[in-house]
Amino acid sequence: MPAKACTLSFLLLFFLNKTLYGKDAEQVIFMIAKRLMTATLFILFSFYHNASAKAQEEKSSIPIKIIVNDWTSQIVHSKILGHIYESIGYTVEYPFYTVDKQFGAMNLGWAHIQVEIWEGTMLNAFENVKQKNVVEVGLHPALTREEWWYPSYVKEVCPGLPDYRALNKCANLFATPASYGKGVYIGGPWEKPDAKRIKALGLDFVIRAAKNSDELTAALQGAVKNKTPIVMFNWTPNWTDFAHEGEFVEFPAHETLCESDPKWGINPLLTHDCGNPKDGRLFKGAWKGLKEQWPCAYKILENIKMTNRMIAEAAFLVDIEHKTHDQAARIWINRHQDTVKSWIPSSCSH
Amino acid sequence: MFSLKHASITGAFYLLMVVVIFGPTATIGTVLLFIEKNKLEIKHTKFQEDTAKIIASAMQQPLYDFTPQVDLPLIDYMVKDERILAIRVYDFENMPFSNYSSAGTTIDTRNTIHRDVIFDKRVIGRIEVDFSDDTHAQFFQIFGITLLILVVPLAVTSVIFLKFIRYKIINPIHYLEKHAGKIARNELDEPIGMPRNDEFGKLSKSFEIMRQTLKKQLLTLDKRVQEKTRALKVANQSLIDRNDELEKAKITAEEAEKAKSEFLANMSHEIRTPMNAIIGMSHLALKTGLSFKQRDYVNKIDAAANSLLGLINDILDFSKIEAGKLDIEAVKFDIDDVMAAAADVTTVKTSEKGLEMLVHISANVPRYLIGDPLRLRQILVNLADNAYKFTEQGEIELSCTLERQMKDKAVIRFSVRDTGIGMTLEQQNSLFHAFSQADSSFTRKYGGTGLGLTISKHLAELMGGGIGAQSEYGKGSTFFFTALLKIDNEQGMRKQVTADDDLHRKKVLVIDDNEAARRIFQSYLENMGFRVETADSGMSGLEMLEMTTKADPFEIVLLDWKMPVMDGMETCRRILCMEALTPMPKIIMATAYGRAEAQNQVRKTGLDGFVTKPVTQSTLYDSIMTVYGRNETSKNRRIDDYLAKAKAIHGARILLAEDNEINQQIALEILRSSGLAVDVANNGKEAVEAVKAQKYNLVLMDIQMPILNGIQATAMIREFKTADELPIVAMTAHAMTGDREKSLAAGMQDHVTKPIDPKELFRSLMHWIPAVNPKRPGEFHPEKPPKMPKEESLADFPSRLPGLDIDDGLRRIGGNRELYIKLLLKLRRTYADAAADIRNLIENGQTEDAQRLAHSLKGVAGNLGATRLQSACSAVEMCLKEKSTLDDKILKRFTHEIATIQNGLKTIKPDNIFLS
Repeated sequence: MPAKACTLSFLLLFFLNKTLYGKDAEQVIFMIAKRLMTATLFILFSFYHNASAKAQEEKSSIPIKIIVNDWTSQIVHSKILGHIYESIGYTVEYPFYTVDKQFGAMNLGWAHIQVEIWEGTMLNAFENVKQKNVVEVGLHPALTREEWWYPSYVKEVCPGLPDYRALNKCANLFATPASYGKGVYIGGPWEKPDAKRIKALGLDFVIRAAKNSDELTAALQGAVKNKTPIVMFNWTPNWTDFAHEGEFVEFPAHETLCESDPKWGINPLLTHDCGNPKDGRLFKGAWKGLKEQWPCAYKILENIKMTNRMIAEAAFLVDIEHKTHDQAARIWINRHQDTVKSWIPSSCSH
Repeated sequence: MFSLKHASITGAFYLLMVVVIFGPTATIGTVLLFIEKNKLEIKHTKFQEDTAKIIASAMQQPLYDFTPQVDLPLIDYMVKDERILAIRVYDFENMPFSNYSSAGTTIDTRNTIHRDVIFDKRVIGRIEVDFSDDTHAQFFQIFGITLLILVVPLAVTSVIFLKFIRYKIINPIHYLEKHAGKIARNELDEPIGMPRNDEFGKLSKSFEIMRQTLKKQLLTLDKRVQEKTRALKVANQSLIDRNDELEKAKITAEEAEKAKSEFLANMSHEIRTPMNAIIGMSHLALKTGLSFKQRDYVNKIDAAANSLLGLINDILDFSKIEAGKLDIEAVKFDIDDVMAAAADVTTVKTSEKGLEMLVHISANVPRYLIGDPLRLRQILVNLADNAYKFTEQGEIELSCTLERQMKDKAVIRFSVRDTGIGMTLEQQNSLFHAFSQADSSFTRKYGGTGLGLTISKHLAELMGGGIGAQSEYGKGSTFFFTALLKIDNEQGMRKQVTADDDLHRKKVLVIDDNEAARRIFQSYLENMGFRVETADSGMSGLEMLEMTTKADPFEIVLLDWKMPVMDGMETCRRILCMEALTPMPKIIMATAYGRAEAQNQVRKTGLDGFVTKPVTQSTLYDSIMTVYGRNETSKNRRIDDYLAKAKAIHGARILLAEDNEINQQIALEILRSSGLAVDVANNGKEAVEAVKAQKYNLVLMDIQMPILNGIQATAMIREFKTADELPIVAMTAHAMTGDREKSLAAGMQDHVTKPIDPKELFRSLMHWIPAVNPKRPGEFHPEKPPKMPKEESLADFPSRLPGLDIDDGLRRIGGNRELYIKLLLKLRRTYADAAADIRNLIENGQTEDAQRLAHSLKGVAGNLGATRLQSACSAVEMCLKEKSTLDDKILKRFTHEIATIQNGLKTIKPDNIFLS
């Protein structure tokens, strides 16, 4: 704007100073034409100048809010992105949202980015807000799965695994004094249809739900240390991918009807006689306004591509090496400097 | 209008029911209803608020998760409620999110509630809920039910209650009331009895006892009444008789009062008739060639007569005031004229004493007013006369100022200031009381009845004002009065009399020894736009003229004639000799002389103009305009010289209807001497015939005439001549209230009183005769004044005649012996058989004619000095008026007197006289 005002006042002065010294009509017309041309050139130049100035995004002090959930890989993943943003001049905040509340907040613009959207558990909710103010910003190469899981050594004591039918045969392996001979499945703190599945598939198991992911980690670490059999809720990508050998239990393949139609599957009376979906996509989502308000941030988010291992590594740094989330993020960035650089477009680099 | 006091008991009970039962019930019912309504409304509001709250809460999750399609059983349930018509949900961007409405709602009255949906303390959307607004319907339902519950049982109870009251109380009361009425009407034969033992039963028994007692007493009473009635009848009759007597006495008193009024009127008439002769004749005599001595005598007669007339008028006015019969007229007039006329009257006297007469009318006094100019003038003249009487030297100033002006009315203050002897405080206090002068010794010294001020006071009060005086003993007095007068808006306000533009701001020198006069001149001239300087003597005036510069000279010198040391004439002569004066100022002299005389002086001395005193602004203006050769005058000049003015109506033909020969002659002389052609009619009938035969410009009509009186004659004339064609002026000696009205009502246009005042007469003539309509203009020459025969020429004029006082008779007609003899001969001829005529007329029942003959002869006899005959005539007239018959004694006396005179007159030989 100041450039425009300057241009206009310059033009005005230019005409006032000169045109009044009239000679004959022809000369005057010629002079006016000449000056009009000069003025046009001047205006074009000033517009060009404006446009190039716009290409350089001004990093506002309004913080970009990256949602953090309650599991390590997501938190460190978010921090990695945050650190990248901060490195090019953005202000970043990390509001915590539970999975069920995160998309509402994003839809309302209270939060802006979710770096890990798990197809298996979040797709429906994401589809709802996608109708309004939330956009999908590309896939990670990583594939996700959430399912019953056991370390590889368990297979040795319980043959027939990973088929779920093997579980009933060696349920007693997983029993505790409190489970009265029934196998104990250590569930996650997130709501899953495990109880229904146990009922529908007739599994001789009870569920002991962990209060958080740390409890899960501790249970796994303890079992691995003593090589005790354990079947627990796990997912990929997770630090386990990076630290332990293990397998997911194979239930009957998931179909949508399994969850709604009792007739479907081996149990004609109950729903959920199937496993969780496999190979779920992992993708990124953002508030619709991100692209316009923070174009570079959007671009970077779009470029980020995480593999299962890259995410697992990040989680490992916290869960196993007991780094803080920020430390983990920093270490991770150092280890993957080239990759990170490739995510940042040249026009956005600091 | 319902009145509890007079209402029947039944009515009162109904009222009681309404007041005690229905009233409170209705009030309580209404209050309860309104409380219920209020509760209902609060309930509704609460329901709506709560519902909105619940819906907002229910919509929190879907709005947050953005799941508009989600099933919400709560919302579905709510929409089924008939009170909820629709729910609309909007997201955080205020875009429609979801919509729920109950099917088939047609209710128009809806109340919409808005509510924000909040999550985590932040607005994430908004809901709108339409509720059916049916509180009124519900209220009316409750109202109906309440009405049914309250009113129906109440009505039933009330009817039962009233039936009970009727049986127990009202019916017995009606029974008793019926019987009490009978007792009251003396129908005492029917026994009273009620077969019950309650209070009413006992009461009816008491009634029965009362009835029986009354019946007995009534019989006794009847007898006594009859006796008393008889006595009363006797007393009544005596009262009636007394009343009759009183009625008669009242009639007698009224008659006496009427007679008193009539007497006053007659007195006035009787006095005025000879006064007419005196004033008229002296007027005529003054126009003949008289010796100085004769002129002096006649002048004195004239003055004495006028003063006598004034006295009579005063007494008459006073009696009118006493009787409350004095009326104030409301006619348009010019106040300048009134002031000038009043001043004129007094100036005649003041100039004799050498007093200065000044008139000053303030410029802001409205000129044209509506009121009674004659009465105003009368007061002014009265006060001025007084001032004149008590002032030996100095001046008298009549002035007129505006005291106060309302919308169309003005209070004008008139004052008369003199430099006379003044009054002490004591004397001032006794002013304005009838028959009193400042001091009783004054009466002897200065004369007068003392009625003037009283009359003036009454007149001023009648005009809505008051009167007063301020005086300092030895220094002079100021009498003033105020009058509330309407402003004649048609004529407009006083136009500023300003000099023409070229005269405007001219410098004027006023030379007058009298300070007040200088002040008045200065004020008038300044009002006209002149610049004024004043000098108090001829010498100082001359000095001022000498000192004047050529650049700004005096252009007009206004100087007074009479000044000490160097008078006006001398000053004028000297001014004319001052050759250094260029241009020579115009010299205007203020003089108290008449117009003609003053004009003479102007010619002689080389004056440029004159202005006659007393000076008013308009006369001064006219004089200045005349000097500058401008004929424009401030207004029509007033008639100050009636003879000169009468030229305007020269040749006009007038019919004089007058039965009295002497009066005829006086009027004839006055009219003919002014160049008018006059015919005479001796009575009304002749007048009517004359009007039919000849064209006249005006008729002068006496009121009292034989055969047809003036009123009757006018009525007949008006049948064929309109007022425009022929104006008729009444001439009457009756100066009592109502005369003027009577004559105007009869179709006459004006009214002049006798004795004839020539000025008054000509004023009327000038007014009514259309500006010169002479039959043969130029042909008519005014009749020369009748030659007055010298005393010697009537050598055989009888020295005495029986029954006649010749000296007295001659005096009455201004000493004109020829006329006297003529009149005597006319008396001899006309009334030769008067006694026989009267007798015959009475016998034939024509008493009115007889009365008129006596009246007429009385007037003639009086004027000729036949005093005994006059009194005999008067007796006859009075007797006829009262009784319609004549006492023999009176008739005998009358016959004797007329015979004596007729016998004496036989000695006169007409030839001798008429030949000379």
